[in-house]
Amino acid sequence: MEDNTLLKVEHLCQYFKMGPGQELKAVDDVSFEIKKGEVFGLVGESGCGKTTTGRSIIRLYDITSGSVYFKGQRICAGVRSYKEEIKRASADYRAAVAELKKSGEPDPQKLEELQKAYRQRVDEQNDNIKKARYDHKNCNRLYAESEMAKVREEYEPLLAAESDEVKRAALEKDMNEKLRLARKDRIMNGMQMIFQDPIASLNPRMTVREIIAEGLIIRGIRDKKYIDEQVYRVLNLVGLVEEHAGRYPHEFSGGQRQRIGIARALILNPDLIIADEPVSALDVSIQAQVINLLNGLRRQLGLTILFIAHDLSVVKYFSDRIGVMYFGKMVELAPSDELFAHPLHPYTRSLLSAIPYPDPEYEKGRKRITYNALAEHDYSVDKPSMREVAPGHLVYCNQAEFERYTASLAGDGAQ
Amino acid sequence: MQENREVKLAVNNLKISFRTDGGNVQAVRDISFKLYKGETLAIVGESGSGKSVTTRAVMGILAGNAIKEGGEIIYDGQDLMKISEEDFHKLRGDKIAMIFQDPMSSLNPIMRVGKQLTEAMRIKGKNNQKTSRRQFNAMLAAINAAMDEAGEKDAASAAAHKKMCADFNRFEYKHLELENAYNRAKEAAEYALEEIDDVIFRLEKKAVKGLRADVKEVAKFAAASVNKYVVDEEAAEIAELSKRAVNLVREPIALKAVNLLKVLVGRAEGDEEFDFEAVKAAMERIKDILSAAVKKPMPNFFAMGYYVTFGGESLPDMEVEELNKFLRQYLDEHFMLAFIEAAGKGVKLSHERAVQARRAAVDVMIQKIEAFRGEFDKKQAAELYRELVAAVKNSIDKFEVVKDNLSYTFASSLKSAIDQYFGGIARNAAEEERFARQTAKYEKLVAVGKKPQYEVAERNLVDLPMAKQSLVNVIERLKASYVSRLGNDSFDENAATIAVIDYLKEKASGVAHKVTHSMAKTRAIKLLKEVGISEPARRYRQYPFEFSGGMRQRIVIAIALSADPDILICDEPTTALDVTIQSQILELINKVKVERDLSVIFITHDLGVVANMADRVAVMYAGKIVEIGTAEDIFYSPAHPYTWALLSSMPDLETKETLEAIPGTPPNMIYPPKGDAFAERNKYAMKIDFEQQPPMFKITDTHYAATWLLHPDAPKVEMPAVIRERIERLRKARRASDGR
Repeated sequence: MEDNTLLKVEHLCQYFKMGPGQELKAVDDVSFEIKKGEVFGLVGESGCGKTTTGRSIIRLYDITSGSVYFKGQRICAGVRSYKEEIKRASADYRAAVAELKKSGEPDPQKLEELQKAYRQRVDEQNDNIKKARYDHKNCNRLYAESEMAKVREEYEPLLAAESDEVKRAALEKDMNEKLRLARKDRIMNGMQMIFQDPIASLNPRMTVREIIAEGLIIRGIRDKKYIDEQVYRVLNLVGLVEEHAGRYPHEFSGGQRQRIGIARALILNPDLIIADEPVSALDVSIQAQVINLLNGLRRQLGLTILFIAHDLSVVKYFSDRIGVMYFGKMVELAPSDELFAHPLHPYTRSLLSAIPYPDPEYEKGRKRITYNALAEHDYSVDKPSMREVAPGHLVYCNQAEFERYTASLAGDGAQ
Repeated sequence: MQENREVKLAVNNLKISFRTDGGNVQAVRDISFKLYKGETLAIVGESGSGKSVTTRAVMGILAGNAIKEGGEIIYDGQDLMKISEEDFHKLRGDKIAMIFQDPMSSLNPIMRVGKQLTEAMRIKGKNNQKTSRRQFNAMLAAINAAMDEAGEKDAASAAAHKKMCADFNRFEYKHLELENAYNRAKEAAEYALEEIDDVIFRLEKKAVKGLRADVKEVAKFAAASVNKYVVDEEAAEIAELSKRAVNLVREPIALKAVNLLKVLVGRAEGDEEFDFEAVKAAMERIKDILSAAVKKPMPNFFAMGYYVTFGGESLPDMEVEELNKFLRQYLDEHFMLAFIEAAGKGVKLSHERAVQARRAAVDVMIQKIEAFRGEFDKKQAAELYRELVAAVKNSIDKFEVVKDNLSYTFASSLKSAIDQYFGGIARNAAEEERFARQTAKYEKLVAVGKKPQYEVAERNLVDLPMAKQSLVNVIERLKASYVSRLGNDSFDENAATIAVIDYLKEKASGVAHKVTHSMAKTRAIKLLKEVGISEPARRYRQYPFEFSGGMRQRIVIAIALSADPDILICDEPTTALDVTIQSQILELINKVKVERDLSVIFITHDLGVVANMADRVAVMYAGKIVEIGTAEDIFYSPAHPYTWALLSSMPDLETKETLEAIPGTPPNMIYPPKGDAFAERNKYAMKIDFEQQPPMFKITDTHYAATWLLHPDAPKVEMPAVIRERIERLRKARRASDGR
């Protein structure tokens, strides 16, 4: 894995049970990567699974299938795909045996070979399942252990070199404190979330200080002074002042509340922030304030952000790369300028055609492109998959469409 | 050009405040605007600028702590600020409908969507039946009386009149039975046609899922369309075809089972194909039959009713057009001409009387206006009120089919105007007393040498002359309407009589037109389809929580449209929705607006949406309209700094630099600032902005703005570069796309 990849999502599937035998495929086979310091926008209409993707990544749900890697470590893993592979293997095996039996008495050696191959396939998948379950369950513990090992590595030579009894005791105390903190450290601390509704996401009975410091306290920090310092630091970062720490959420306006939500996400110095429609519920003038704030923070702290939103102008303004989702599938993924200049997938086109412009005359003549998946694609023979049409520009299409898209891109380039 | 258009709704000097613990919040401060027929007026502003309060006042659903401080909302000649709650019931939902921001809170979570849609229809239907019966009987009795009065008053003609009215009553109901059956069949045929198109499309695409239910649905409606005048000879064929189609589509499921069995037994060969073509052929044949059927002309059921009731024989076997002619002639000869003659006399007499009474009423009104202009106490006012109401009541013509709302609601609006005036006197006295008491206390403290940390809140007085004026306005308005009607009195006896007969027909159909459960369901499903919900028959049975936000909003729109309103108020209907759904909903609202010639008030804070929807835009800030004009005015040459700030704070697809957010927050409206409310957040503010409120400056005939920057003495300030560039860029882009 490359060094600058922070988050990698591979074949993520999230299904929900909808009664006996029925499943809702909220997210279906989605893969993407987020590089360090990048803002990745996820757009799509409501119900297309973009929020579910965000929540699955931060482990608010247990994913059905696929895996998510964060800082190189697997943090979520589902087992459905492996189980299906086993089923397929058994079906294949049975079919092959039936084929053999058709032409009289089967050759025992061939049978044995088949069985061996089958066993091998199943064992492989069982291994995968075991690994996935282990990673999914133990990623935080493994991370904490590695952190603890780091602390020990740092202190042990110092301890060995130190001969003074008193200084040695002080160092040991230091180390124990750090070890305690490291034991409580979680890999998931590096990932924080900003929610859509600033009213619903703040506990009305807690003061702003308690809300923001809660993460630190759970993290195991006991130093009151340090906590206060940190709270004031993030409050300043998001443009609030220290006096605000003692107040309750209802005393703030919508924009300020969203700032508190952002402060809470920032206090643990996360590497990745998942911002789930952070400005959709705000007034225009406040929207601009919050967007400016996020933009400033991103530059100041070098944050990586997964930005989930449905307002395309905001996403365009804010993101480096954009993924478009439709009914649980990622249909197009490209750098934001490229996506807006050359939208290829018909759904992306229809999405772009729906953006309202502040221009009455343009609006009156506007033609919205409607997207009907049934009418647009014929996937009965040629199955679709994600294909790279241009460098960094991926589209979900089949071979025929792929050729058409490439041709249209080449035509655009020639003009 | 706009002046010639019909004004649907006029808001004049509206003032509304809310009583709270901290004091009175002045939510709306003296705003006026007009809404023309068939146009969309967008109201833009931040939350708390009073845009929702304005529209809630129009709907008459202000919160309990609201104080109507003054102003008028004129709809259909009545002042909505003054009419009684009973009168409002007739408008709300029926004439003025509203779509709220949050669809979840405007739907009942424990009722199925279908029930919520049909509830109003059924209750209204039931009520309609009752009131129609009452109105029908009253009108028929009135006609009978008027006939007797106008004709010779002998026993023979009175008996003839009585028989005529009774006959009318009898065959009228007979005809409705026939007509209702016809309408049901035709509706079913139309619905089946819509469905068929969908099914054929899916057959072409070989999408099997849910196909069987749809084909069954088509078959059901096709069977329901059998009627003597819709699908007659082809009835057997349709039954046969639908049976075959339903049987055929059963196969995919059976086929699947067979294929699966084969695989399990280990004898898997190629899957057997399902015969799409056969089903499609059957569907297309049904479509042909039905589309021919809905094009047939409609028989004259009214005349047919008479013939069936009194003709005694079965209907002659003729083509529809011929039949219509025959029936019409039969009806005219035996009944209608005589009835029109007798009724016409009565209608004429009644009209002449009403005209006289109206003249008298105008005289009374002129007197009373003078009396109300002067001084009067409660008792005198009650006396004046009684006399006025009696005169106006007398002047109402019973046979006027188009009801004159102004005279009908006159009593209730006059009463509330008088009450408001006396209420104002009482409140002012209390307010003066409070002010005097607090000032005395304040001065006492100052006299002792203390420096109080507070200021005494200003007196919040009701404008008594204005209250009196609005009282006089109620009478003036009716007087003006009476005078103008007396001036051009063109009475056509024949037309008036026909109108009365049509009224009777309509009321009778109201009685016979029972909104049954299944009818309401069909209509609701049709509405759901109209607002773009797929699989409406299945969705009909679901609860609101099973829908996504956009779908819920569509249901709310369907409910609002089910009553066929005159004015539609949309309070941020798309704020919670994403772009695709938003543009679909906007398109939907635009579509129904054009189809039904609706007037729409559209509240939003998203300027992109405004550009799409609005014919005219009003920008509100702190309870006042700061700029109003056509959409082009506001977007291409905005004049108020607040409009500039709004326009430059939204990112568009080309924005790269930092957004210009509006600093600060809106002012506390308990103590509204003295000058321009926006001055504190305005970087172009001048000294006068903090001292005096700017008046509305006229820029063009359609464009007004309230900012001192437009004063001739003000320094010249250009609009911010961001906006200018954007306008320029959009113009270029538009030209480029036009050229292509």
